[in-house]
Amino acid sequence: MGNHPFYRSAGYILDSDTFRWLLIGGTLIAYLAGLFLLPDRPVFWSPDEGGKYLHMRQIASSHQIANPLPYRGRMLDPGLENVPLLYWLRSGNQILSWWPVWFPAISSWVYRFLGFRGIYLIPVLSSVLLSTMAYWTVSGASKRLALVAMAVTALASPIAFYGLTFWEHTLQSLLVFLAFASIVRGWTTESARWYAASGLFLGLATYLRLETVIYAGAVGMSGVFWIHSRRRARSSAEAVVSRLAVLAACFLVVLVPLMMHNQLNEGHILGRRSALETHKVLSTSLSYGRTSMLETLPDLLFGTPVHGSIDLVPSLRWMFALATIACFVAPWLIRQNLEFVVYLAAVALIALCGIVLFTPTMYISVHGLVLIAPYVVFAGWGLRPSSDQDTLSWGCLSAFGLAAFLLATIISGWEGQGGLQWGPRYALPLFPLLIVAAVRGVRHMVADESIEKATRHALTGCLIILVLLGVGFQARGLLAMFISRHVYAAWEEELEALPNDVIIATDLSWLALTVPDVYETRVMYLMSSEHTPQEDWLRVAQDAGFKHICQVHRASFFDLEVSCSDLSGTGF
Amino acid sequence: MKCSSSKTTRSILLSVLTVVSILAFLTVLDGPPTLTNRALADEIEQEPYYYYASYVYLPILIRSFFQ
Repeated sequence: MGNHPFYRSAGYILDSDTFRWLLIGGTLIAYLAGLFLLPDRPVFWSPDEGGKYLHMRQIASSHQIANPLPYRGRMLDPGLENVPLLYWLRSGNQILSWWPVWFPAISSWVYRFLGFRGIYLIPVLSSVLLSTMAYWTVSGASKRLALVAMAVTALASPIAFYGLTFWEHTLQSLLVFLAFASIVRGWTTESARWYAASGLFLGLATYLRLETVIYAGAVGMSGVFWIHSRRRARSSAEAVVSRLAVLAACFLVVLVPLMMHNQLNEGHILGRRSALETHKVLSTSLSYGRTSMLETLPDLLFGTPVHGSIDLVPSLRWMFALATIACFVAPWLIRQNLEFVVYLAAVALIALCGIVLFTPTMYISVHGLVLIAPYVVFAGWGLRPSSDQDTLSWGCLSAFGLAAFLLATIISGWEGQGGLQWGPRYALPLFPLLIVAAVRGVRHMVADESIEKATRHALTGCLIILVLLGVGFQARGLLAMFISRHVYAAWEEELEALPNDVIIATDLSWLALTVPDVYETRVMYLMSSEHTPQEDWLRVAQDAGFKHICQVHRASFFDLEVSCSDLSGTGF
Repeated sequence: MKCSSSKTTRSILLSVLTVVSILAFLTVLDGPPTLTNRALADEIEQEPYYYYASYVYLPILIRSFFQ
C-alpha cells in the first residue's frame, strides 16, 4: 500500500492484534445483539419466512417432509376457497407448502433441539461463514485487506440483514461463494478436483433456490471465457474443456436425487412450484425487456418503486445509473485522463445514496443492487489487466455474475423480483463476490504509481464513504425489520387474546404467514369485510361451537382493527 | 505532487458543486428528490417514520434486549 501517513496509520491499525479481535468480536456481538432484539415469538418480517416456519413445524412434528399443512378452518371451508395463506399449493383437497422442502427440513433438526430461537442459527452462521470466506479469499493477497473484506461483508452488505431472517438466502449464498472460490482455485491450480467441488457446491445450492442456475451459468460463461484468455495460453483448451465437463457432471449428479424426489413426490422434475413458475416465466419471457427495456438498467441498479420501496424522479434514477456505470469503468476513465468524470460520478452516487438513506420518507423495501451496497461499483478495479491472476479471476467472475443476473432479469420479465426485500435477494450471492473483487482491485489501485497519488487518495476516500453508506442501509433495514416484527408481535398477542369461540376473518392476505402461530391455533379465513356469509355457513359455524366472527384489517401501519360480531345476531 | 493534490481538490470541489447544481435544477424541474411512498405515508398517519423509529420503537427495542 502507499506510503501516505493515512495508509501507514491504517496499516498499523489493521495489523494490530487488538484491533483484529475487536473487529471480529464486535461483528459477532452485533449479530448476537440482532438475534436477541428479535421478538421471542414466531412473528416474521416476510410472509415467506412464516411459510417456511409452518412447513418446518409440520416436519418437526410429523417427521415427514411431504405431509400437507394443517388448516383448522377446513370444517367451514371444505372447498379451500378462503385459505388465508398468501402462497400455497393445492393437491386435491390438501394444502401444501409453496416453498422447497430442504431449508425447512434442515431447520427442523435445529428447531427440535434449540426451539424457536434456534431457527435463526443456520442463517446467522451462514452469514458469519460467508464473511470468513471473504477474509480467506483476500488473505493470500493482504491480511489487512482481508479484514476489510470480512467486515464489509458482515456489516455493510445485505448478508447482515438476511442473516437475521428465517430464510435460506445466506446459506445459498455461502454455497455459491464456495463454488466461486473453488473455480478460482481451479483456474490457478489447474486441478480438476476444484472444478468438481465447484459443481458440487452449485448443485447443493440449487436444492435451496432454483435461481442458483443463474450463477451456474455465470461460472460456465466465465470458464468458457477463461479458455480463450491469454493467461490460459500455457494450458490446452481441451484440458480446460474437460475440467468444465467435470464441473457440469458433478453439478448434474448432485441434482439427480433432487429431480428424483421432485418427480416422485410432486410429479415434475423441477418440483410443483418451480414448474409453475418456470411456465409463467417462459410465457412472459422478454416482456420486461419489450415493454420497458430502457428502464431495466435503473431498475436493476437503483430499484423499482414496488413493494413499499422508495423511488427517485426519473431524471435522478438515470443519474444514479450513469454514475454507477462511470464508477464501475473508473479504471478505464482514469487511463483516458478523465478523472473529473470519475469524481463527478462518485459524488453523484454518494449524494443520491445519502438522500435515500437519510430521507424521513418511509420505505420497507430496497430492490437496487447498487443502492443497497454502493461500494460494489469498485469491483471494476478487479478487471484491470495489470492485476494479479487471482484478482482478475474474481473480477472476471463478478462481471459474468452481473451479466448473468441482468440477462435473467430481462428474460424473466419480473420488475419487482424478490417482492418484500432489503437488497435484491435473488442477487445475494453476487455481493460477497463483488466485495472480494473490489477489495482486491482497490489494493492494486492504491499501489499503482501510474495513477496520481491525489487521485488514489480521493478514490479511497469515496470508497470509505460508500462503505459507511452501506452500513447505514443495513442499520436502517434492520431497524425497519425490528419495528415491523414488534408491531406484528403486538398483533399476535391481540389475536391470541380473542376467545376460542371466535372465527377470525381478514382481508390481509399476508397476515396468516406473518403470525403463523395464530393460523395454526385459530380458525382463520381470508375474507373481505364486504363478504356476507351464507346462512348455512353460519349454521354450521354455530353448530361447531363458534359464537363470534371478528373482522381483522389494518387501521394504520402500526395498528390492527378488530371488529367482532355475533354469529347469531343481526350483525350480517 | 502538491500541484496534483490541489488539482484533485479543485476537481472534487467542482464535481460537488456540479452535483449540487444538477440536484437543485432537477428539484425545480421534477419536484423533490424522493417520491413519497404514498400508501405507506397514509398508513403512518401524520408523523414521519423517524418519529416512530426513534421515540416509540427504539425504547421498546432497547427494553426488550434487557428483558
